[in-house]
Amino acid sequence: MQLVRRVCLLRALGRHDEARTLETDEFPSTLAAVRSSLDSSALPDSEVQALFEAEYLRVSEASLLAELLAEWFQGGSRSSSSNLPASPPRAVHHNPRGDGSHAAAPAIADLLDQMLEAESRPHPKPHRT
Amino acid sequence: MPTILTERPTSSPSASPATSSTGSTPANGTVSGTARRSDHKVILLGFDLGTNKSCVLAGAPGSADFAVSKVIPSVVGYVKEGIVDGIITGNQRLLFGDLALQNALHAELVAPLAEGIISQQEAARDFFHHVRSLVDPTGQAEIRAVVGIPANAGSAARDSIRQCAMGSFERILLIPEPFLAALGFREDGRVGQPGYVDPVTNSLFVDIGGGTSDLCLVQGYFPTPDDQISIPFAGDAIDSLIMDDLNRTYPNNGLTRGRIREIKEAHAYVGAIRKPIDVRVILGGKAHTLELGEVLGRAANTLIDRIYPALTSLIARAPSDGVVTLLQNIVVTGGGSQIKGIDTVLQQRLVDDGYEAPKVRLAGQDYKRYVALGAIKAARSARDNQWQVLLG
Ligand SMILES: Nc1ncnc2c1ncn2[C@@H]1O[C@H](COP(=O)(O)OP(=O)(O)O)[C@@H](O)[C@H]1O
Repeated sequence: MQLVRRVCLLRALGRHDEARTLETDEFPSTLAAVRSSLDSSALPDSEVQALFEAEYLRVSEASLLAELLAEWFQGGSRSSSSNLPASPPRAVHHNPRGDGSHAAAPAIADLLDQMLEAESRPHPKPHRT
Repeated sequence: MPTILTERPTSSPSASPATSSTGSTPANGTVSGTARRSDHKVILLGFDLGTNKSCVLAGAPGSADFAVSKVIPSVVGYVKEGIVDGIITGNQRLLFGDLALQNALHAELVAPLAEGIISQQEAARDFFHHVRSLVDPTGQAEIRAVVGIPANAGSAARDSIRQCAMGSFERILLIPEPFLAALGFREDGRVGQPGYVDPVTNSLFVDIGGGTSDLCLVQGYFPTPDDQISIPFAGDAIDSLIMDDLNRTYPNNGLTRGRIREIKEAHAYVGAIRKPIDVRVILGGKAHTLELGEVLGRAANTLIDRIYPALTSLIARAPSDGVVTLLQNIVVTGGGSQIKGIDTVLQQRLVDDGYEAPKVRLAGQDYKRYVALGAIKAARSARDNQWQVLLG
């Protein structure tokens, strides 16, 4: 079921609000449609629950693998020792209001670059009040 | 500012950075050979410059150990004229921290900071000098200091720190305190583990100090004034409420502010009124027992009423797709975090208001060190060309 996977994926990404919206708004009607297309004993709640659990497990294993791979790639390009060449700043834009919540840990040196650049600008952007 | 050089290519942030901590040529050539003393030992310094207390952590660049780890009251004592020899240890004219406080009768005490920023330049300069002598008694090393600043510090406050640090530190970086607190609080070994939410990428720090309570979102970048709400109600205001209440109930009680603060630090709590809390005090030379359960609870609960709206308003500012994770990472720090029950009461309020599974944690006993710890971690991560060079 595509919808179950989407819910689990959103949860794994920490996007619980969206997951909940899908679960409460879309899921009941989709489930009812599936059930009515099968015979009445098909897909009891316990099976739906099991479906969610199995899917959640798959999604979390996949995201763990993705995290490990990302770390592995980063580890290859960024040295942990300050005596070795540091990687150039990543091509990310400083996005205070953007989705910083699920980003990998920011590299301090990159943040320092952003801060020093902002300080060297003659007129800092006015802050929202 | 002619005396401060940022040894980095400001025009091109993506240019290749300098690559070595041992005497590489700066990319833009702005720093003369004298600024880089590659023949000298480098000491990294994490410096939490606090209004009441400062914390200093120092160590060598390649090492995880700290050669110096100290919490020092942020106060300088200028010994009064006419104090006879032998009264002050070593006949010093300048006293710092605890020694200054112990000699309050013989010295004029000056706090270099007020509300998180330097208010007394000369005292700040002397205080920085003292810190240097603690971390580098020989005076030969190159000191690279990361200093915490309030997230809402303006450029004048930053310049003031740099000016005062000139002659004490060779290189400096100023980084917002809440970010450093999150970096210090972070369990580095757990970053990337499933279920561990890195406080640097998504957290909300509630720092309850003496003069202000500062609530700040930390979202993977250096917080700006937009990310912080400062409330001029914290430990000192609780002391005042307790004092006013006691003066009404027990007129002419003669309790000093210092004693009231001690009582608060020993017994303050939030939540449902707890009774009895019997406190022994000496009034007019006689011992009395006062029941302070209600007074202490009322005063400290006022703090909750003041900070809670700021907490929810910051939660509302966080990006919606990260807010559930953020709610797992609310950290209370500062002296006020020691008030009994503050984590559970804040958490319960959030639950009662329908927030999704909030978790409010205390920074713990080590709260005084997190900013300095974050600062020295940042110092270790800073590239050679990012340090701002102070030419004293
Ligand atoms: N155990 C405690 N219970 C309640 N308040 C405390 C406790 N310990 C310290 N405080 C209060 O915390 C405040 C100082 O907090 P701190 O974080 O050290 O200050 P600042 O950041 O302003 O330098 C003071 O008002 C102090 O009385």
